[in-house]
Amino acid sequence: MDFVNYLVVGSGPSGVAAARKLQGKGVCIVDVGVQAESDFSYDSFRDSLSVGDLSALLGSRWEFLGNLVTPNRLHSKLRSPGVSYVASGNRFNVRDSSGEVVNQGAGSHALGGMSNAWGAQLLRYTDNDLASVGGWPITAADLNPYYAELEQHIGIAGKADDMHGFLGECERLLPPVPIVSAASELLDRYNRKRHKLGVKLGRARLAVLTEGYRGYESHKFGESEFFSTEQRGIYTARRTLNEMLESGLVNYKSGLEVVGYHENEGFVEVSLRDRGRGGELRTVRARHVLLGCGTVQTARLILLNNGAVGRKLPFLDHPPTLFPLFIPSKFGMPLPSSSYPIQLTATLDQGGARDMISIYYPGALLWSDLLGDMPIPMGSALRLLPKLLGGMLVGQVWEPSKGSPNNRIYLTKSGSIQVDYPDREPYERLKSVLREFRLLGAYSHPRLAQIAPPGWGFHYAGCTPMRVHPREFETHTDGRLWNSKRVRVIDGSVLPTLPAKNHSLTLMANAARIAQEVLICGY
Amino acid sequence: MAMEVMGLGFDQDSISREVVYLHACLFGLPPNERLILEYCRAHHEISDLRGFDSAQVRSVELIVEMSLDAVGIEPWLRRSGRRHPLTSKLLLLSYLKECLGDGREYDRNFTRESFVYLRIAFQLILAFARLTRGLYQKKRYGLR
Repeated sequence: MDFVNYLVVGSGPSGVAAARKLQGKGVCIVDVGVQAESDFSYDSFRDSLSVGDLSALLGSRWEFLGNLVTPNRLHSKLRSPGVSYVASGNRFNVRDSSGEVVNQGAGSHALGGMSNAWGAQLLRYTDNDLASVGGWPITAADLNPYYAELEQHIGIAGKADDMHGFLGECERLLPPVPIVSAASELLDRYNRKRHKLGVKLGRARLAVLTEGYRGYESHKFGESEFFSTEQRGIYTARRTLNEMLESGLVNYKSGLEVVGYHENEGFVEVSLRDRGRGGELRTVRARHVLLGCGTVQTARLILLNNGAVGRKLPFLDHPPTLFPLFIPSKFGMPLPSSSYPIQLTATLDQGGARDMISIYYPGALLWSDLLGDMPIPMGSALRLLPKLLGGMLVGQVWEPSKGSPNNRIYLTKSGSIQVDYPDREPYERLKSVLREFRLLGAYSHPRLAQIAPPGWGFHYAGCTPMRVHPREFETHTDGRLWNSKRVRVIDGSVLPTLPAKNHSLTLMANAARIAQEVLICGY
Repeated sequence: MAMEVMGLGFDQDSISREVVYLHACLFGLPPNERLILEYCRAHHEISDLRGFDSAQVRSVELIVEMSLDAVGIEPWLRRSGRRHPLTSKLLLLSYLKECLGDGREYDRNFTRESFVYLRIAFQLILAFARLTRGLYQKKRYGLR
């Protein structure tokens, strides 16, 4: 592999979306390609509990108990050995306004990137979304053809209900994922009262196959998403990569970490550390390089390559606010034997607010995970949980993120990444949201809400934002770095601001759009 | 408050007494041998369980020695940031019990209960009573 036309760095969602556009034209994907060392061998979470497989659930080295003494040190989805490998990349600390480290994050070196652990909500940005945050040099119309093509490729489950306009058009929807009794009750009440409410509610829009699609089997809903990334029927970037490899239209080399690049007249010389050969340095030349390492890791690479220690770049995140919802009419109900975490989505339909509320069913978690948050003795909590869980949901609110001049990412002298995130305001519409749900017979209280720390949400973006006229460390609308002709950024780093909705499908569509720009650039 | 790191080794007997007592507080009966072994193993292998403040560790020891209501006291010892050792130990016990498939408290295959609101109210009253007793014991014995 001495010379390639297109070198795509990273096998996550943006990398595979770009590579797909370039397949058959001399494209090579490189990544570190970490995979799970162990796998959760049960069809369902309940099977593992009934057998009492301590090692499968908590890990042979107690990995799942990483939050036992320090809550929220590990994201709840990344504790299990079958999932923790996803966050195997460069580590970073997030500090709040007091300078205290409130979160320790990591990029991904996994084959398929963070898509291995995502919730699979793949949503379009609309012009209303982009207008709500501003700063975008492209429109939704620029992305729509790529959205449509990706949705057809992936298979999206959902319903054309009241949330359809908010979630964005999708030409073909698979049947929505099944919902638990409490969510069904909430939706029924909403449908009876919707014209009197200040909230919109509907089925979640998910990259989960609820029926066979393009030769892929549907998801089993075994409630094991927190323990294994091998989830048949849930889309991850690995599926696209495997398809491309089977077709023979892309080249793929794993075990390689890009450590630098140098642009010459007709090519880019890329330095890679070969992990399979003891870290030996290799060089490859490419006509074009597309950086899709993930927002934090791409920013780190660019800063390192420019010798920019201490240089501060913008950093966007979506730290959500979480709150329990209790539906008393469903207390004592038997728990479903199968479910998917994300049940419904909602948005506040007042005053132009475009927050997104994802509604989760928490019953498939280990109940021990919930004990520390219940303000009563643990023994009582254990006796109450079976009675409450049938009528319990969790709301997670995502707000638009326009960025703050004080929230910054930078490289330290040791080469590690530091994020300073002093500006994290409490969610100001919480009382309005809770009032609307109260009208639907779902009760909560602001004191029960938890504000996730910055960095917890994984929706990182904005470090090298797209501009019509980019300045230093920004990118052109075709993804090129400000000072480059042949090096482009294709991941979340280029998104200038974040509407409330998940940016996963958008970073894929934008990566495909940028790849198209590469194809027609003429050099 | 200064943090003092405990020695790397634990007294096996005291850990075993601790788990037997805490298990009785939480579940009302003694633990089986497997759970005791796993609890001890966790204390040897999870380094986080070795770095607690000595005054907090002493509080846990006192709770076990004086047969106080660990479960009623624990909510009053909760704090933001690093957890109190009592909270961590009770959570560990719960995780072990749940993942060993050992306790009827974690049975997910239950049928619908009658009079569920009354049962919930009853449990909340018991919780309130236990919290009250726990607060009294915390203050009475100066637990931190």
